Amino acid sequence: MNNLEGSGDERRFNLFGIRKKNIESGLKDEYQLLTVRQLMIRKFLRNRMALLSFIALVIIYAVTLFAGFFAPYTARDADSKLTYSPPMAIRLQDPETGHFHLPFFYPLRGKRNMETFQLEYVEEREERIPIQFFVKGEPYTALGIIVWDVHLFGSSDPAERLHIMGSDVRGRDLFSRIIYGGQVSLSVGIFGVLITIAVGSVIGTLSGYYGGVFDNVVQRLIETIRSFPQLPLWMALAAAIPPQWPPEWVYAGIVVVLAFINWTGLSREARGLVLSLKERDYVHAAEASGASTARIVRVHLIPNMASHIIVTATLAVPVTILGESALSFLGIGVRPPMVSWGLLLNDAIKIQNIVLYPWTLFPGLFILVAVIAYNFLGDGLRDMVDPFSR
Amino acid sequence: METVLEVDSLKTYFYIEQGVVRAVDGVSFALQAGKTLGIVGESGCGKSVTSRTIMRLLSPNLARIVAGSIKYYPAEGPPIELTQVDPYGDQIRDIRGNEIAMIFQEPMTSLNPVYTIGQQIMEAILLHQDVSKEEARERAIDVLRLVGIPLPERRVDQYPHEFSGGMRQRAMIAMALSCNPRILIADEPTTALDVTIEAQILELIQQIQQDNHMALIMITHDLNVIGEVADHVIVMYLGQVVESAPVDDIFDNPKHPYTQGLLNSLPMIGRDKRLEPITGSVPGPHERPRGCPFAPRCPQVMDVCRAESPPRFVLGPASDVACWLYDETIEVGHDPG
Amino acid sequence: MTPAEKAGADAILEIQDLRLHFPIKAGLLKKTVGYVKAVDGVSFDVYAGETVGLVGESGSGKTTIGRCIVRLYKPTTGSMHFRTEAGPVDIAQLDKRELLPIRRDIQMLFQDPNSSLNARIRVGDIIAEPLEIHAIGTADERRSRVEDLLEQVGLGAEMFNRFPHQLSGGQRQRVGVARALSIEPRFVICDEPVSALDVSVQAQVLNLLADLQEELGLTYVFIAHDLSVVEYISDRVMVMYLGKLMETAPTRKIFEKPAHPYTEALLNSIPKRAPGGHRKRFVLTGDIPSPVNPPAGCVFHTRCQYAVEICRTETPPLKPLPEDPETSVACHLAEEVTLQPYYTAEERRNLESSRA
Ligand SMILES: Nc1ncnc2c1ncn2[C@@H]1O[C@H](COP(=O)(O)OP(=O)(O)OP(=O)(O)O)[C@@H](O)[C@H]1O
Ligand SMILES: Nc1ncnc2c1ncn2[C@@H]1O[C@H](COP(=O)(O)OP(=O)(O)OP(=O)(O)O)[C@@H](O)[C@H]1O
Ligand code: SF4
Ligand SMILES: [Mg+2]
Ligand SMILES: [Mg+2]
Repeated sequence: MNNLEGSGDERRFNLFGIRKKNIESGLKDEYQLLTVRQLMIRKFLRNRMALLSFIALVIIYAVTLFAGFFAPYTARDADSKLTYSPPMAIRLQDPETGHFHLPFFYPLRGKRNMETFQLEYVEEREERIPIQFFVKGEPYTALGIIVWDVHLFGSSDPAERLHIMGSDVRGRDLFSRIIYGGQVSLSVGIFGVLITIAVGSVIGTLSGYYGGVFDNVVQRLIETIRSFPQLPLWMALAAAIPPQWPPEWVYAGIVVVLAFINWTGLSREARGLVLSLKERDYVHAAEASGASTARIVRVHLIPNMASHIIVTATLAVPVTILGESALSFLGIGVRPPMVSWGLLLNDAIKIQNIVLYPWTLFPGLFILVAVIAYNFLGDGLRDMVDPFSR
Repeated sequence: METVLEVDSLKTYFYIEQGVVRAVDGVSFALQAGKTLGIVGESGCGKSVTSRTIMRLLSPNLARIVAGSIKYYPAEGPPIELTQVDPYGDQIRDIRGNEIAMIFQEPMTSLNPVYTIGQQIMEAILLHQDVSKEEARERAIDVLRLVGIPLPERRVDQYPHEFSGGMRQRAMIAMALSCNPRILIADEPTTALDVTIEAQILELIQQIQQDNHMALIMITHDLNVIGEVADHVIVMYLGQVVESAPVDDIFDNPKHPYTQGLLNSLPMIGRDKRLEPITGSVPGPHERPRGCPFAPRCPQVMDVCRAESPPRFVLGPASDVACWLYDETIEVGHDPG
Repeated sequence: MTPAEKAGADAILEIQDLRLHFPIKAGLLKKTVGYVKAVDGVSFDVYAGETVGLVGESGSGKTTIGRCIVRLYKPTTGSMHFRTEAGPVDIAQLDKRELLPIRRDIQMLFQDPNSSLNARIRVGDIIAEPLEIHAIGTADERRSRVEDLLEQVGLGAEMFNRFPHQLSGGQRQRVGVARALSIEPRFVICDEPVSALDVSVQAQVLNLLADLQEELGLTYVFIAHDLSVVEYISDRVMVMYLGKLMETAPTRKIFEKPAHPYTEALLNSIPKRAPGGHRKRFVLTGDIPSPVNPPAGCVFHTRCQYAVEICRTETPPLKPLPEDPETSVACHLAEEVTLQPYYTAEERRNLESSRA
């Protein structure tokens, strides 16, 4: 009982930078006074899944932001010879000698099966097409201004295309389209949540602070909105977007539609926070000194609410991403020529397609990863917001 | 005198993100049947952790008994070393509630809101005693009546939120008493209550103690409560017992400079003297002093105090004090006390 | 007479028939279904430079009175005349803008040192907040004023950049004191400022408050439930029960010659040491009734051991005792019953000589 040596706890603490000698004895600095920020960061780092998710999301966002560079082709680059081609394997091994070989792939050749009338692909084993990094290809615009034509990787022979995740009905590279689609799907999440935060926290704060008739009306409105099932309400609203609108407008419309339900949840959160914060004595002290409402909200309420709002918002992003995907999948979301993950999944809408071209489900995998990562991240942030809890 | 519990040099440390918190760092006392031991000290000095360690209620993942022993002497059979029992095992479960019961500071959080008061008391009875449900219910009504709840037949089926604060605390006491424990640990049972209700609860606890010849540990930061109920007092500071003495000695002839400081800080009705507070405040776990824990605030501090922590000097059959002023081998400039 | 009262009509605050009834709302349309009568017809005066203790059980309305005076709440009815240079002003009637200058004179100290400081703001900025609100001085002047205040409450200017969680409970409470004093009020409502503190720190804060009062000529309304604290700090004591005043008297009289049965019960409940054995005492039974439906007649009659028929039907007004006008009591039997004091005058003399 007296012996602390080599126990499990001790190892656990060493991971977090508490030196072993502290535990052994050393009366001084065996206990460190951490600032709130340090505690919060430690808390977050301790949640491995949240950390991992955060890294994954940073990578995914970076890739979609520089889509032109990371994608071997543009979203519209089609090749009618390679429609619905399956994913092509990237090889690193010489099939005869078994030795390492620089990455290459075998091109696919389509042949129509005269019984089923399906196009069937076989690898052309005679030819090895090397895969090249920083290859010149289709020009693209990065970040809206830089025009460039270098891609991270691609086929060294422009005539032989490489589809690492297969292609779609018009022979467009699915991997490239997923990266471009990510621009829409992931940004819808961000913009939708920004609107949600703006509307939800302002309305929630006001109704919590003033109460009375305004609060009553808002609460009844929120109850009404939330009493509808979410997806059908989104569908109804999305269907109201005029079909003749240009795709950018439709995109904006979808963002607004998605935020329309999400703000209610955030507004309730904000209202609850305000209701509890405004009974804190420091708010009373400010009021007793004659502080204006604007000052109380700015100095005392917002800083204390921000972290909770960020957590709620983080958890609302995946909901928005799923919403966009669902609407686009059903054909009432963003419209071509825009691409989004939901729209890409639309190719897999027929069961027959899933059987014949299972790679059309790849976009779903990306949705899944993004949604799960956001949820873990939100969990981690929630731990962080309350650094004193154990 | 019959000793029912003996705690010796107990140390319980917490292992948390920031490091080690020495919550209990050397506590010793003996508890006699039918007597009241008062544990007094300022917030954070380790009173609650001491009681929770005795009950083995602390999760081993968070807190560890680092040293010391807790001997419980059952009515028959050999003494049980409570530091060695499995905190999730059957043995401690038999003792907890049945032989050693506890009342917590916050009656609100220690009663389960979704069960009626009666169900919660009956659960405790059924767990430890071989009785039928009906008998358990009868016994629950009896203890509710015993603690002075009016109309216990009706109250037994009510939920905690239908009880006022004082009645909840009574219900807690009823639950603790339902199995006739030999030891009752009351951890600040009246801190959340008004004086008039406090008076009722203290009266009740003392009366039941006398009737059942129970040993009582009364934990509080209120010296007046200690003065009212305790027979023997231990004064805690930073996890250590600094003085242990019969209650009259604590008030009339306090030995440790900390005890003296506490009494001089206490507003006493009828005394028209300016309070003489102890300077400074209780150090946090990061600035834990070497040597005597009280040295940084002590008006009589000497060099040895800062260097080495004082042992317990025995001053009488029932009193000892951890302070270098009482070391006969050290020349002290002025008379302490 | 206490020195403060001797100064004659020097009342700095005159409260007349103050009431605050919180509506209880229920249902979809939030209809008012009843009222919590938190403060129900309270009248008293406060004299410049004195400390008035306000005691009573939880829920008796002490905090509510304090918050009415600093106008966190607008009273339902009643007047509160506060003496200013331009003569008495009824602060119960002022609107937000008119209140602003008065707020410089009346400040409040709060009970919980954790919830009374915003954890995200530095100590220096917390103390400077009232100065900023009233746009007093330049940023530099405010800073030096805050540093002075920090010294004055015994903290030291180096605390300026700390955050509240880096301070101990007692230090936090000192920050609260510094904030309340930053705009040089004349009148401070202390709402249980030491209840959450340890004895040793409580004594420090009590002494600090007493010293500041002497130095700055402050007037305190000191709310507490600990009678020994009230006895230590107050010149006069007001005893509250269920939204009403039961008794007001000079401190010493309250303890030596209580005039209301409820005061007697409070005194009897105070835990105290009885050398050489346990003291048998009379204990008040039952709980405080709900302020939604307070008992008819005298609100205390449900727990009063002396209650007679008239107590159940008629509400006794708070009026001065004929033989002792310093003491006012709201009890039908005030002149008939003899009540048990906390200590007799003789015991008191012994106490004083033994402690001297
Ligand atoms: N779960 C915990 N994790 C880490 N430290 C803890 C935990 N519980 C208590 N402590 C620390 O142990 C020390 C003793 O706490 P304890 O609750 O025993 O104090 P106490 O004497 O009961 O005080 P109070 O009068 O406030 O109840 C404190 O410093 C406290 O911060
Ligand atoms: N904002 C409010 N809305 C409704 N009821 C309230 C409000 N504030 C206080 N009350 C009620 O008014 C009564 C008096 O409360 P108050 O806080 O003034 O009591 P108190 O004497 O300060 O008690 P304590 O000693 O617990 O602080 C209580 O019954 C309380 O529940
Ligand atoms: S040992 Fe020294 S510092 Fe500690 S209490 Fe005694 S005199 Fe004070
Ligand atoms: Mg405790
Ligand atoms: Mg209050």
